[in-house]
Amino acid sequence: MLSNKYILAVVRIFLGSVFIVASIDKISAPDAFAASIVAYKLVPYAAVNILALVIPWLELVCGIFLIGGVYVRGSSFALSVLLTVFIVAIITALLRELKIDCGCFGKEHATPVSWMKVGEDLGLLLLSMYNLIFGPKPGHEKGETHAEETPNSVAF
Amino acid sequence: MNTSTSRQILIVVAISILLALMYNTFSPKGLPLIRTEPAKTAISDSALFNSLPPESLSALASNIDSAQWKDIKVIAPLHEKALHNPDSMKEVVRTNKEEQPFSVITLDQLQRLLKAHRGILFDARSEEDYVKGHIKGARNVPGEDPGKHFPQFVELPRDTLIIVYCNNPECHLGRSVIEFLATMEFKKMVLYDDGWDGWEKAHLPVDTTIVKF
Repeated sequence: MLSNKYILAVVRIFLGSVFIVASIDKISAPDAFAASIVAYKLVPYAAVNILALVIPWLELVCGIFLIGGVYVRGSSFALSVLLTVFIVAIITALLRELKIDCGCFGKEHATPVSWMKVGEDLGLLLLSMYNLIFGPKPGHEKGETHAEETPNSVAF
Repeated sequence: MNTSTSRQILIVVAISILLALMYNTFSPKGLPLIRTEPAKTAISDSALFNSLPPESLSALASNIDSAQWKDIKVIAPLHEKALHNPDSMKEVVRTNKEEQPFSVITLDQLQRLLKAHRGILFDARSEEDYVKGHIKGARNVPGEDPGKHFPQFVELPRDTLIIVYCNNPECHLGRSVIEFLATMEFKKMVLYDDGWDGWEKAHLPVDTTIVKF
């Protein structure tokens, strides 16, 4: 039941869409996302910009791969790591009583950090882990080993 | 996890980094890869208060309130350029002036400036935050798009003391307003770096009267 391919497809398309939406604003305004990262006071100043540039693209690339059904396990793993980092960051911000924007969906949809956000991210993490565990096994996955030869199976 | 999954992860991460770097190179909003701490130059009381024009600026401030703003056409390429793309002007400002275009002031200095009605106070936060509460007399110029207020700024004398505040020292909106005004060649700008958080922390009065600008 849990490895039902239709459920899996719905989950990964949902997850993919969420991350694509989340990435767009951040990609278009990297300075604002960098400022959001700075506000968490967790990352050394010099490393902030690199993260602000790469994280949104990682979200976008993983989102596209998930929707396209390519590199599902790799993308799910990367997103699970990202989500874990986000959850830890938001919890520490809440514990330190920082009144900051979550930065989750970019500046256009600014929302303060809250336990609600932690819940949302935990939900997403759960879905991502589900994909990682029950998703197509490497080798059986469409386009996984033959991605180069069959370009039409690639999402973009 | 087996090698195939780790290979997938590597590919996904590598593609992302590559795209991010490529996009950053060609985007007009590109960031330097290594972030540098914004320079914060404090200003001494004597430098701050003595450098101001002798006449009180309160008259000027009230003029702004009553002025009827129209669309002003300015034939000045630098200003036009600044209006359309403030980012492109940062380089010009940096190369034109070695020193920073602004100084950072303390809460005490801010209060003294406000009490003496010297300078004009701008709130660089979003309109939403501004409406919820701000420092009395502050005009809202959201740092996301300071160019929107170009017609208003263009009428101000360039030696007007501009006082800007945002949320806190991490907030980039205040600096964005100052960078924009530097392209318009405003000479005297100060940033209250602790911003709204510092103001609230000191339990100072919160004002909700919206001052038009």
